[in-house]
Amino acid sequence: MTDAELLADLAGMLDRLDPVPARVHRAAIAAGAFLGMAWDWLDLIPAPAVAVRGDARVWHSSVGVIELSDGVSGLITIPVKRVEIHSGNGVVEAPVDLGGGFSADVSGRVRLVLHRDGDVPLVTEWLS
Amino acid sequence: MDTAELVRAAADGDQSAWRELIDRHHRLVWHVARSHRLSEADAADVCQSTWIALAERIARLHSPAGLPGWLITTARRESLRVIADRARVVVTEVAEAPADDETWPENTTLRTERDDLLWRAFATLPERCRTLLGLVAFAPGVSYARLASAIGVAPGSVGNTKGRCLDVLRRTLALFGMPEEVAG
Repeated sequence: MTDAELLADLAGMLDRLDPVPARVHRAAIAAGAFLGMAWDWLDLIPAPAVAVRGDARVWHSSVGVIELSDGVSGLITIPVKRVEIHSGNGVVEAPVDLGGGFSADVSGRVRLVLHRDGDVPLVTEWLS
Repeated sequence: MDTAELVRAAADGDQSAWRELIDRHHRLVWHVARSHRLSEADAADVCQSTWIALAERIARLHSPAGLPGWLITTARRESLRVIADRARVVVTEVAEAPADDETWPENTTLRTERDDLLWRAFATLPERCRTLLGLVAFAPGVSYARLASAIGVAPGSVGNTKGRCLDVLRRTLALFGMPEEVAG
């Protein structure tokens, strides 16, 4: 058995013992969602927050407010077709109500994409 | 397509190229994180941070063909960040022994006798050997300079260290009863 064959056996054994969880693979694919796309950053400013329950973090921006606690919620002040929430578990689309509010039951590290009418999407940094 | 071509295609927005890069390298990134004794949740965090960093910088990679080395360096840096964060939490809260993660390889039921022998032999190696062999197993073409940085030796000694580690692994496999054609 050559060194290369022994190392290939080793890789196979380590992969069988400790396989990459499917959600980790999905998160890796989701990380590439914006490759080659035209979009603008949405600058966010952290703001003090009072959580109704658990911990909460709030960010202000020129287009509204985003809160991360048990889930993700926000209030958007510009016309937005839809809000996508990217996380380690994939992408969730959150409907936006007439007042600009949205919420979704997504936890962990998230990135929001605001799809605007007639303009490139606004994308946040990864928030946690 | 080779790695460099996939990197360039992904940077141009080719999602199938991005998926192919992940399929080829996600085991390497996971292994780097887990080799730092991180729990499954922390290792997942390291992987996500590493792939996000790649997605944000892929168009500016100096050497697209050297992606495996870049991933090793980035995942290692992210792993050390997580360890440092955890240490701060332990200092400021209650210092507890880390919970024994039932998903760590030594706590997993092995599926075959061959895997069992290989794991037992691998586990007896010094940590530096385990790290080095694990990296070259998942990324055979990675540069000695990157490997040297990952295991903390001079680049000129990586080849000899790898040879010694493989030799010890083969001798241990023979001691454990692995057939000679495998153990060498």
